[in-house]
Amino acid sequence: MTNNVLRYTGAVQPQPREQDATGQLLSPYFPEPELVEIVNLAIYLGRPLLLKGEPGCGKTQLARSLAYELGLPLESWYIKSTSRARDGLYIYDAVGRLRDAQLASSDRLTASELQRASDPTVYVRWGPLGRAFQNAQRTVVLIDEIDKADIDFPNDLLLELDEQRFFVEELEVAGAAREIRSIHSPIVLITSNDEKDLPDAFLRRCLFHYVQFPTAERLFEIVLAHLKAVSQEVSPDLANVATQRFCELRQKMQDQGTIGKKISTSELIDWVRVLNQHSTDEAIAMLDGKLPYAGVLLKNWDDHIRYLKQDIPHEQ
Amino acid sequence: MNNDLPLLELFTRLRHAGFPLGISEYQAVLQALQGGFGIGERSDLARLCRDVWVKSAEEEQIFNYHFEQLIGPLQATSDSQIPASNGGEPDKSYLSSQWRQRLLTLAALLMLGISGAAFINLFFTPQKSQQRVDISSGVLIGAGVGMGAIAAGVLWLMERRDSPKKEREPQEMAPLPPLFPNVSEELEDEVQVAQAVRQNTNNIGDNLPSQQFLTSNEFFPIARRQMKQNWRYLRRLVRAGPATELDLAATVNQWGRQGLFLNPVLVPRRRNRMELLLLVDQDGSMVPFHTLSSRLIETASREGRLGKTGAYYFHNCPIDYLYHEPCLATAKPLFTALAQLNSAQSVALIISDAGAARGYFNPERLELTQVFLQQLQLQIPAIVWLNPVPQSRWHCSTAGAIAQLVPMFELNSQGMKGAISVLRGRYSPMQRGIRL
Repeated sequence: MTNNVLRYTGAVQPQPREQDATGQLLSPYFPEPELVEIVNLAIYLGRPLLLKGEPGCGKTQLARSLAYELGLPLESWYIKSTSRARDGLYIYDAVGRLRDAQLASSDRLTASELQRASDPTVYVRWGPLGRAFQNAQRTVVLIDEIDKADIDFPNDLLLELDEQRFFVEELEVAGAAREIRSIHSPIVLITSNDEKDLPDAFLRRCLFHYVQFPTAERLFEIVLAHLKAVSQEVSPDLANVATQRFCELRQKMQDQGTIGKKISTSELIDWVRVLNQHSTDEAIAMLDGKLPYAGVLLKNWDDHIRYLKQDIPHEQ
Repeated sequence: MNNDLPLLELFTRLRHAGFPLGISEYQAVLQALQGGFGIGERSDLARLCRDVWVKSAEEEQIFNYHFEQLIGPLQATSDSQIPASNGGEPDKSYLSSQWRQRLLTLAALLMLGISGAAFINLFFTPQKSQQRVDISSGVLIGAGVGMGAIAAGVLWLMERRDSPKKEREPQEMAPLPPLFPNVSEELEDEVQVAQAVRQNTNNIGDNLPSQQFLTSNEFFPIARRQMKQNWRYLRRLVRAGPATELDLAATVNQWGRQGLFLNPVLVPRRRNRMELLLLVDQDGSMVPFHTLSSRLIETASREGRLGKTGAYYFHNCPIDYLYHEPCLATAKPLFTALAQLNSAQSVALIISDAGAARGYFNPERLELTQVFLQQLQLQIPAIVWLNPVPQSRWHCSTAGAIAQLVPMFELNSQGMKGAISVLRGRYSPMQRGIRL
């Protein structure tokens, strides 16, 4: 078994400006030790790992970091409200086949096209899970925001995730639907924003982890690493002061209840990048007074108003 | 290794508390332990179990409670606790029993030695004072042999008692303590429901001590999970919204009729269009059931996957007005509220004790309810009544009379199932039809 070989540490970070296979910039990732442990447990047991946590705490990034460190291919499946479970396995292009049939009947296809059209497998487009099952390498599969889909969606995936096989109804092999079995069981990461409750039968099979929002020290590390990744130099002083101000603001918003959106890591990084346009001393001086570039952090008008009201005693 | 840890007991307790777990989840933990996870500190073991068995923040609290009860405090307290976290059971009592055994063996050997010495003494001393020696050594031999026999017997008994105990350990972990003094109220009743329901349905509570079930003044005959499961049956799938799905049969059919393929035929997806109107009796005799009814509303609107869920409140019987909030603050004329309903897709569910809690017959209430039901039925044909008071108490009260007018079910798992199937248009033996 390859189980024993694969071990995620979370310590391997990509070089600045390094890109993944799809040309996307890789960003550094700093997981908590508990998260690293449960990822390893999920790999060992071969069970899907369900990650919950507030938006912007790095649920989706984990999959990329994992694939990067272990050197495995990554298949991402971003769920939409119209997604169906089968879309992740394969899509059969029935319309394309009809079109070809019509073209063939009016003699508009060349011999080679006709040859191609007579093979039904041409019309099957594999989805992320379908590709992962057939990949000769073990694959990391990310099912992102599973709670966006219809209620039955997770239950429709039970067989595929449990037994690691599925049937392609449109392809016939000896009178039965063709069965696709996984070569290596994929490492499945599932994220949820908790907008809908997931069915128990599905939960039972998953490992569950609640990703905590990073602490101030970790945020500081993250800011430094991310700015380095986009080749921006930032002084640790500025990053430190900005992170502290950010945590203060976040705490304040939290104390007032959960109205509006909580500010998250990506906003902090943007904010520091904007502040970094000024010289360090200037930026630190700005941070001391009224919140600079509040629009980067506060996306909600109510939050803005509340902040402005609150800020008056802060300035005095 | 798993024989030493009360893991199975922990697992069983979590299952009783309503966790969605199966045998494979128990095996997963064992497999992970063999794989080297969760070994070392007790907190590592707790984290492993939590990772595999716990699926939400609420469950985590319940898990922590049971873990601390069975295996020990989660916060490792440095000193002597550490070996216990790894090996679990071989603790003080086991060690002390081993010591007792050794002491007894020692005592037996000592006795045999003394009696042996006395015996030798008897044969090798001169005959002079034989009679006196004879008596004393006779007593010594007798006592020695007797004590030795007793010690051996005790040893054998202890051995016997200990060996099966080791095997039976997981079942013998009881007696269970009363549940959750420190977990929040909300969780407490959830767990209690799960347990109580379990006992009701599959009747295997015989081998469990009675302390496992809390006596409580509150009444929770149905768990949140069962509510969710029941709501899911309430569906009327209709194709609605934007056309996104390919209708292959229709496309081929159209092609055949037109002679050439112009465009695929798309149809909207099937959605649940069932609209649920919840009418909830508040205050007065319904006060004990407020948590129950609010949980019904919450599960229906959050996890019911219904087209639309609306809830109105009233007191005793809706007369002219319905209210938006449980505190009966914002009124809406009954006529307006009913007129806004989509009569083709709506079903109504009334939650009220119908006077059964107080248990007397009130002709006025019956009449008012009858008038209201008539009004409601003009708009919504499918009406059902859930009564949180047990059916045995409906008789001779207003509830009994109202149950003649409208399908009334007791608010428990079975009753809710029945009510939902009536709302879906199925015949139910309890249904008498609405006679107005």
